[in-house]
Amino acid sequence: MYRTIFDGIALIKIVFTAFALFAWSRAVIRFYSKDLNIKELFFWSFVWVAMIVLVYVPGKTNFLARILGMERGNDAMFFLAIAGLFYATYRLYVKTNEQEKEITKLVRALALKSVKKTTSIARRVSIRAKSQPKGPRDRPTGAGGTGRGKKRNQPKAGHPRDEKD
Amino acid sequence: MNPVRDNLNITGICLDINFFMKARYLKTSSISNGMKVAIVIPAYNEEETLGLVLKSIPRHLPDVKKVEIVVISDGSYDKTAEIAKKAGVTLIEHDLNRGLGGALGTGFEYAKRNDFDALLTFDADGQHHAEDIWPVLRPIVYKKADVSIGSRLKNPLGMPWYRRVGIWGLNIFTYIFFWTWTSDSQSGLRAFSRKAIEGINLQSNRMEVSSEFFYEINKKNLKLIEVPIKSIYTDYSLAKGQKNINGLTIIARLIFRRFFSK
Repeated sequence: MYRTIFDGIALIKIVFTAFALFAWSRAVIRFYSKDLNIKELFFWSFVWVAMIVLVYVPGKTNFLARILGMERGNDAMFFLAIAGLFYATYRLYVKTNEQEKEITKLVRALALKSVKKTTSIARRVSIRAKSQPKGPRDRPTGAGGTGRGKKRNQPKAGHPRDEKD
Repeated sequence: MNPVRDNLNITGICLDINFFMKARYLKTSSISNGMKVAIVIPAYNEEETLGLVLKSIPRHLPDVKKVEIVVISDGSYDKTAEIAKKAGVTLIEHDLNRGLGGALGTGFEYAKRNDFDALLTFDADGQHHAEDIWPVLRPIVYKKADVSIGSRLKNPLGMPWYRRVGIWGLNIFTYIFFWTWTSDSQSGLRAFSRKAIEGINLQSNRMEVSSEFFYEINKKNLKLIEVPIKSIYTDYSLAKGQKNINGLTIIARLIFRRFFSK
C-alpha cells in the first residue's frame, strides 16, 4: 500500500501539493473574512485543484512541447516560465513608471499650492529708500555717520538696474 | 598722435554703436512688447553654488518686461531653500525628490499657470555663464524660434573628453529615437516660447528629460535653434552632473519612452 502511493513520487510533487493546499486554504480564509466573493472562491479552488491534479498526470507537458515544437516537456515548461517572467517584469516596470508619474503629479500639485514669492532684502531696502523723500537721510557716510545711511544706499548703488522700475 | 582726435574717434564709434542698438530696439520692440520671462532653476542640494548662481543672473533683460527667477528645490535637505528665500526669488519646494524631469515639469506648469511668455532653464551647479542667458533667450524674445538650446559642443573648450563622448552617444540615441538632430542633447540651458511651454508635456522624472524635450519638439513641430554657449567645468559640477554610466540608464528609459509609453 505504502509503495503504491509513494513509489515514484518525486519530492517536488509533494512540495507542490503542500504549496497548492496552502494557497487554497488562504483563498478559503479570505472568503470567510469576506475579502473574496463566492465566484472568486470557485475560481481559485478550480485553479489550485487543477494544479494538484495536473501534477500527478504523467506526460502532460509533452502536449505543450509538441505544440511548441520542442522535444521534452521540461524544456517547454522552462520556455513558458521565462517568457511569463519577462512579461511580468515588463508589467511591473510599466506599473512602477505610472506610479512614479502619479507621485510626481501629487508632489507638483502640493508644491504649486504653496509657492513662496519673496522679495530680496536688498530690493526691499532699495524700494523703501526710493519711496522716502530725499533730504537729510541722504547724508554722506564717513566721519560722524552711523553707518545706517550707508547700508540704505548700498543696494541702490550696487544695483543700478533696480532704479529702472 | 592727437589725443583729442583719438578721443573723438572713440566717441564716434560709441555713438555709432548706440545708434545701431537703438535702431534694433525700435525694430524689434514692435514685435515683442514686454515679455514675461521665467528663469527656472531646478536645484537638488545645491547650497554650495546656488547663491552665486542667483547673484549672477541678470534681473533685467532687453525687451523683457519682467524677469522672474523660479528656484525649484527638488526635495533638497540642505540650505538650498533658505538661500533661494534670502536671494528674493520665487521658491517652489517639492516635498520629495522627483528628479530633474519632475522639477522641470513643475517649472513648466508654473509658467503655464502664470502666463509667462518665455521660459529659460538654467543649471544650479554653476556650469553656465550668466552672459549666455541673453544669447539663448534672444531668438525666443524676437520670435525667431520656439525652442533655443544652448549647445556646449559648438564651443567645447574645457569640456573633458569623456564627457564629450558621452554626450555624443546620447545625441545619436536622441536622433535614432526622436528624429531630431542636436549637437548637445543634454544641455541645461534652454529657452522656450509660449507655444513650446503650452505644447511640451514632460513625462520623464529623471535625467532622460533632456532628450525627451527633443521628442516633444519633433512631435509638436516646434522650431529649434542652437546657440553656442560656454560651460564651466569644475570638480563640483562634474561630480554633480551625469556620469557616462548613467547614459545607459537614460538610453533604456528613452527606449521605453519611445516605444512603450503613451
